[in-house]
Amino acid sequence: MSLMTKWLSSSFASATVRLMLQLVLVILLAYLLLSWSPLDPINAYLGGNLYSVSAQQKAELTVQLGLDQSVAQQFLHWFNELISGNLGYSNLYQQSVSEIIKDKLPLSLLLIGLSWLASLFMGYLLGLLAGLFQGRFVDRVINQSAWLLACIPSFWLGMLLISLFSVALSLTPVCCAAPIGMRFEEQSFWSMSQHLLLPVMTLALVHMAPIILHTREKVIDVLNSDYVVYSHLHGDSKRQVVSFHVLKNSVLPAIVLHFASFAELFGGSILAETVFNFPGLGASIVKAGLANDTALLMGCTLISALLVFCGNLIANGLSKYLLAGESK
Amino acid sequence: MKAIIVVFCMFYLSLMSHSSIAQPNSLTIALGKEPDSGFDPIYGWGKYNNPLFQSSLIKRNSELDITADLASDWELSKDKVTWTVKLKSGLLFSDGEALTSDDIKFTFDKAKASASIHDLTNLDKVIVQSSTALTFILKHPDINFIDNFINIAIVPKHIYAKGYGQHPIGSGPYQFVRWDRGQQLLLALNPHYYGDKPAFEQLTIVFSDEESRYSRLMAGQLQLAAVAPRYANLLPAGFKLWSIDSVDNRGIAWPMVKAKGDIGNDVTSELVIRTAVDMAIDRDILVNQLLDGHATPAFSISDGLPWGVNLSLDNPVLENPVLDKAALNKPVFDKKVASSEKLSRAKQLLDNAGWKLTDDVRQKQGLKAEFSLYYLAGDSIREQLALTVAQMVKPLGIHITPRGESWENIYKHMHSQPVLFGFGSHSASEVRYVHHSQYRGVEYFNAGYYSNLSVDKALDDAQHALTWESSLPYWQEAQRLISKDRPWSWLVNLKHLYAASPCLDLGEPGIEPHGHGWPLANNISQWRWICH
Repeated sequence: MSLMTKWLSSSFASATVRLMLQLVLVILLAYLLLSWSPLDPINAYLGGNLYSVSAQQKAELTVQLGLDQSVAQQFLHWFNELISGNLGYSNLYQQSVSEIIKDKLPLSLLLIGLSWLASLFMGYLLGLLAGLFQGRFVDRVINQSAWLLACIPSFWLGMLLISLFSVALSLTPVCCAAPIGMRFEEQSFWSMSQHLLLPVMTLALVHMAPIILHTREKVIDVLNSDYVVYSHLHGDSKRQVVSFHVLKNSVLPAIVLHFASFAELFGGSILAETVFNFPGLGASIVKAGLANDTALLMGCTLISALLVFCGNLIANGLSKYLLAGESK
Repeated sequence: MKAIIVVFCMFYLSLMSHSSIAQPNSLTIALGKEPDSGFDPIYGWGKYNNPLFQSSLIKRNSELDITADLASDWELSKDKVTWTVKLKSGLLFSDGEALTSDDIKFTFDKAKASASIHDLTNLDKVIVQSSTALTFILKHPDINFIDNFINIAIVPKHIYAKGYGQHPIGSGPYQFVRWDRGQQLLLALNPHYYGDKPAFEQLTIVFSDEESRYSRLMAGQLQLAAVAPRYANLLPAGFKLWSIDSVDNRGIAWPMVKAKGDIGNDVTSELVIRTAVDMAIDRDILVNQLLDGHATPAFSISDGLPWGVNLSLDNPVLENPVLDKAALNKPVFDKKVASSEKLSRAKQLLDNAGWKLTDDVRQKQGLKAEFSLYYLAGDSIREQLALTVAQMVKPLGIHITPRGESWENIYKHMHSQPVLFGFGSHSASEVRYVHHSQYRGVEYFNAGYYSNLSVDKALDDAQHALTWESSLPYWQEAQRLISKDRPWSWLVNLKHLYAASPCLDLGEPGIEPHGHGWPLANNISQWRWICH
């Protein structure tokens, strides 16, 4: 444990520096991409009603929205605001960006968190099962399903699940996060889980394939290792081998891998939220991108960069701890 | 025994009272897209539909005639730059505060100063005369300024602040209860509303995409939903389909001048080419086969509107024998002329004008009759229209290559190649923007560089009319002149489709502008539940 604290204290400063550098790079890159976007922000602002205002009014809009300034000027203005803790104002939503994020992020985090746990849990169990029964029927089914799941895009799987469970069997709600007339937090626990079931399942299924395959390999490795052979020679039962050696040596790598794949989960959740009409941050990112709403898009980018960074940082820390444990 | 009878009677009574509340006092509906910027009229909420929470000075009825709303009286001065508006008395916002001319001035000043989609560049200033009277001073005469009285709903000065659109208060038929972004909007009747109160006390407006809207309708969660044509044909029994006329039109804008740099096109600038294409397009097929009857044939930018004119296809220019007085009064073209007949007549025209057929393509002095037709990529209706039109003119020997692009790319080519546009507005200004030579090459307005001095004059006369009613003949005159030059080939006016419970009667909805969904709520006070 002392190693852990030492590692923490020594790398805390460097992690902060790295985070700052990474964020600055992300911001610069995102802003650059936005400025190259072929979409005309004025058209987006008018919501497709290109002919509804006169040319003179359009010119005035350009000035009022600050679009007559150079990209560098706009960026500097936005960056200064950011440093003073202001994420800016969304022209699309007519609301401050921090308010939008505060509104929507919790739902997205809930969705991502639940699917993260579900895919870790299910993926690990299936991988363990496949590894233990290597070459048998169960292993072949799990292994091939995992390869199949790995290449299915989340939005397509989402649509399949909706047409099966919601439309054909009418077991789950068609869309959204709550029944009509209710807020998410007002509904009963039962209805909440019904609404979350399909989106969580979609994300979990798509993202558990790497865990399954990785765990399977790891379990097979461990089973073939010298210490397991040694343990067998000492007459330990299969159950003892699994709980003493296999579990201990395969859980942590699975968790590390899963933290590292946080970015993919975040990306997948944007698609899933769109398919399920789930009012999280994902739908806002898509809208902000299409409408060229710089402030909102940059705010969302910042948040997602932070989340991904945290996921990677934890994965890094865990793997260092793991290596340290092995070298001990 | 008595007790039993009493209990029985009470049970019976309770049954009776239950059956009488079978008429719901709340309605769950899905209309259009969620307005991203909230329900703030300053930022455009209610410009194209009944703002529900707020109301405006005047409004249009189902026939699009102008009628009183907050204002009881409105008049333009002789010099045509001063509007005098008088308000009804005793007007209240839904929070019980009085609505006075200060609120009106505040709203217009705010809309002018904000980055908004309201065009108030012509407004000089607003002067409050008394609590119920004010004057609007314009910079130059323009009768269409009256559209702003209709489109800008009034916001309360006493509570208006940033974020008003998230929890609006106004003088409309409904008051705001709650908005769960991305999910739903809850409304209740406004007790202080001065007009005809709607029959439904509560309204839940659900926001979801086309697909889940349809599945929720099927699941019985919605009593009314805007539906796309491809779903309308799948609608099971038990739902009533409301197919509502609109001026949501689609047409081709032709480059009207000879090629010079990035502007103009030598082929489409020939009147005979445009006429032949116009004749070869069979609008009956577009309407009945391509769009399953969910459209009407289009002949102008404003079919069916007060400032529109009933045109027939076989009119003008080349002394067409079919043209007669009767045809002028009917917006449908003469069924007696079969499409094959029209096609051969169009070929004749091209032959006479020197466009000779060689190797499937007509040529005149080395110029081939071929060009691209740009349309907005991703819009399935526009794509189908563009492809079908290309097929329809192929037998003529005119080659059209349909190209789907983004607006940004279309913008780069629209002065030299024809574009499939969609227009349709409840404001006559659009007729001016699209056809006046002043707007040649300005934004998307007159993309084809069309100019005709007598059209310009008629449009200017319309703008300088003293009343809205007296401007109408000028608009019509302008459009009659325009139809002779054929700067556009109009194809169809789309119908807007809504699936509703058979118990819900929507009254008499008016003709809808471009944009499907919210305009349906314009006559919400007429909606009734007819099952008992």
